[in-house]
Amino acid sequence: MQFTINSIAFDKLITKVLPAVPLRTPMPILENILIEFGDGELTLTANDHEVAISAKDNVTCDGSARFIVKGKLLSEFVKSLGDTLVRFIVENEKIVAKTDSGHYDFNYASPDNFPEFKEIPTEKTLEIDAKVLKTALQLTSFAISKDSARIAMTGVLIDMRENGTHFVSTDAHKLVKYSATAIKHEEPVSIVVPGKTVNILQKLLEDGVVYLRYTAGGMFVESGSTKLVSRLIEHKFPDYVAVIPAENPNKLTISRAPFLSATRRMILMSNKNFQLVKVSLQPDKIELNTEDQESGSRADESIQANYLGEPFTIGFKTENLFEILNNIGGDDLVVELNTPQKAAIFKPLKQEENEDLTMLLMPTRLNTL
Amino acid sequence: MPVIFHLDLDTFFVSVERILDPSLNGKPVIVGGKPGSRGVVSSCSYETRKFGVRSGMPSTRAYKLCPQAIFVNCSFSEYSRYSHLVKKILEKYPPLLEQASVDEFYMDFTGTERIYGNFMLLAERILDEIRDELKLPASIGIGSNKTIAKICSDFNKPKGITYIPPGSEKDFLAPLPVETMPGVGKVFAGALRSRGIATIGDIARLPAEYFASVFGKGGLDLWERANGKGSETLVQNWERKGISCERTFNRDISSLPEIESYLFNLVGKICQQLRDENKMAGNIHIKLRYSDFSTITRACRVPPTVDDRFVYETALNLLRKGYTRRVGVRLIGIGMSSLVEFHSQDSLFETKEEKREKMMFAVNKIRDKFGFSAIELGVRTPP
Repeated sequence: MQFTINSIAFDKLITKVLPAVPLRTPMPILENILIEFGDGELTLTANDHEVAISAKDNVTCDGSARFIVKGKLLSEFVKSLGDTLVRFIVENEKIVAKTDSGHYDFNYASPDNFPEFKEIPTEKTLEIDAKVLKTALQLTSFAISKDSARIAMTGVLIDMRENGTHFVSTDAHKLVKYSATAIKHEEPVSIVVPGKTVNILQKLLEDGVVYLRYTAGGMFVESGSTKLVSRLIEHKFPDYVAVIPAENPNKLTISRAPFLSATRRMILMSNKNFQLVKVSLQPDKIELNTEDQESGSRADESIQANYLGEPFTIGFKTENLFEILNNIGGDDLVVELNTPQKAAIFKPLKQEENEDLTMLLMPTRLNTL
Repeated sequence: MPVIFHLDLDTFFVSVERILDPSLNGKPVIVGGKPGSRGVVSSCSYETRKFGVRSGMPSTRAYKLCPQAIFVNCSFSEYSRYSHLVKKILEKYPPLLEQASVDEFYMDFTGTERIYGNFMLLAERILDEIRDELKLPASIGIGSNKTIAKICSDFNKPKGITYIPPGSEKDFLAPLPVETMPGVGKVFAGALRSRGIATIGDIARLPAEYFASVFGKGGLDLWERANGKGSETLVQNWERKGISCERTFNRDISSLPEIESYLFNLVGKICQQLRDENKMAGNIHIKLRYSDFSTITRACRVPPTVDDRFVYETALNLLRKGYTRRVGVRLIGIGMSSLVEFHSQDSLFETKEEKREKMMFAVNKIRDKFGFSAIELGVRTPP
């Protein structure tokens, strides 16, 4: 029993499932990739008990079989082959790979204990354009919390409602809400997708329609020939609606590129421990300032802008401000402010059709009053 | 020729207390620890100085010398506020201003003769403005460097102006006792006296090499200053480098829980003071003095904080590690340095720490209005 495949095509397939091969695990069998072939199809599966990925491709095969190979080894082996044809022969508990000039024996282990790829049996299927889902995950992933003490915030909330589908992430200091207003739901449902799955999905999604099924504890995603099963975060996501201010009276309109570039310089010049940038708002410009008394460095920069409202100075953590500006996209943006103690709202000046992107940033309080 | 002014606010803490409570005017006032405690005098009015009271002496001794004195607790936030107001006034005059401490300022008037004319009149004008606007008495010394200016300001207190024309610095300094020189304390003065050096003139007469070899770099510096030389460079943007407070016990204590409870109170006070000054600290240290006067300090770096609880837990850790001898403790102190301007990253979803931070600011406001003991924190001890 054997199959033949081009090594580059095989590498692509392996790369898809590799994120679900754990680096370190108490269960060594999970370090393997399950390979199944027959009827002209080759299926690869990896599973680390949090995420399972299965990817399929067409191959020439003779007979059918299933076997497991160390994922990392297989990936590095196939990558090193360059562009060639490789034949895998499985017989009598032996795995042999053959190329025109080489012969390689792999260690055989029984595939029987490898965890099954379980699709989730549910009738609730959501069909969503891969592009929309990809954009949503890309925009929200940077704000996912890394604080394992607040598990609910270590993922992206997908909140499906009557007025659209909202993708929300937050680390308590910044919050991103991306709404796909065209995808509406009669019955509101929300799930929290773990950060790791979010990162995998961004790379995995193929153009076209993505099918998404979910139950209380898990979800199933199908995109092209790739399938993914992931556990979901079962903790309650914080009430994001309550923290987004309905109306911030002061409005700043500013070009994104110079703001981002100045913020990058503020990061370099600020004190590494408390990364503070002060933004002073004036009718025709904003002034950025940071200083580090320990090293004696200091930076002041002003940027042309249009500001309607009360002039005041607000402090932000440099890294947070940079991330917001870097991820929000677009040429111009609107920043809506209230007071130096209240959250600032960042929005692109022009929202794409059927989209609504809002980013929230909590300021750094500058005094004890 | 450089022209440096040194302005010193006379009995600053007492003066502020008199503004807060005018009934103290004309009466002997001592700011600092209460008599009977082992606290010390932070500042004392001129009325008490007649009796020999000096700042830095134990309050109990001050009470014996001057039993009629009124003892007042320190109100640091007010001192800080008034210091700021004085700075505001001074900023108008010189091209360069240095705040050397809460009640001391250096001003560089070099090259401003044509603007201000007579420097004595200018000094008078500055003192008048501070007195009229803030009711604070002050003294000014004028000299060609910071050392001379500082010695001068002390020379004719209170409300005095002393001007040493350039070239006569050495003659002015020569008859003064060595202790007059800033930086020469009791121990150093004793060391000098034991070598037959009693006045600044004695220092100036000896060769520089002698001081360099006997007292090292500090000795050479002293010799130069005794010869009328000194720094003319003003340090702008003076920032307090750290704050500390300590407590000397009425009797030596050897029970750790008791020491800890004193430490707890000190933490409350020091954090209050930091909050009043809108600061956070990145370094916490404790000081422990045993009954035999051997003293240890332990320090550690922390992320900038003013959180009472965090500071207490850190200090407690240092204390428990540092208190190793089975000897009574005479004094416990805590200090916080690496100060940075207060800043706090708020959360969209409030955490316990943030709630506590807000609570502490509310506590601060209550204490500012009704006094420190109006509201006190507790610590739960295991039963």
